[in-house]
Amino acid sequence: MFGAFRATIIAYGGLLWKMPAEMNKTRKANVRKRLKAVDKVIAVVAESGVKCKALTLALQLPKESEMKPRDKYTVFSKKHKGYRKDWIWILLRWAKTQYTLFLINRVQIH
Amino acid sequence: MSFPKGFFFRQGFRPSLGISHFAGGFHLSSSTNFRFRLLPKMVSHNNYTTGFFKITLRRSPIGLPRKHRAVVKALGLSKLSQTVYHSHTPIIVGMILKVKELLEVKNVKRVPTPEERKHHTEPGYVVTKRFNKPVQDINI
Repeated sequence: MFGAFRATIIAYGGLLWKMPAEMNKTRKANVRKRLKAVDKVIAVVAESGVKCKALTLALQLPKESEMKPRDKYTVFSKKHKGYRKDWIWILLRWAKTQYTLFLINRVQIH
Repeated sequence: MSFPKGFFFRQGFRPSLGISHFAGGFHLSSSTNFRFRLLPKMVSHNNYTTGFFKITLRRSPIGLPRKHRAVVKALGLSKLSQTVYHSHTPIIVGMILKVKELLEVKNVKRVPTPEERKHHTEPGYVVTKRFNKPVQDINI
């Protein structure tokens, strides 16, 4: 029952990783920080005065301030309740790549 | 991709990848690679533009798709916090926006000289006395 040989999930299964179902404050703040950094890059490039297709597309992206919390911190999943899950930091490789356009399309569908 | 009969590729060239020559779709042999490293930091010069982008690599391209990594390499960035200067041109804008999550960009009017780019720090002390030497000579 007690002590070193008690029956726990770790004792039986070996390795146990617990993943929190929701993001905590710090992780959310870090996501916002990264999104703002991307906004800044687009703004600076637009400031330079160069015109091209890539820039017009990038300017259509929503800014961090315009995005809903749902878009910032959750990802589409067909298995989860409400078609959304919170494991964004695991799935998106710490939000290194652009995901916002995909998110917008999904928001319109669901 | 189709090439005429009898066409020979350069050693290590892999056309099936579909990546441009410039973006790192080929393997440099060891000797060429060595020469490549000796080149100065890449600057695209264009006198007709208003200024330059000061581009710094802030996040690593590790784990990203091959094409994204190729773009970072083509910008001349190989290490974190490395800075390169490129002129205000649509090609460079496209490359920056491709990997915008990894970079920090600023607009500058000109490219600073290598001497200006050196990091200068003050010593934090003043020499007041040294053996057998007057003070005036030391601090000049």
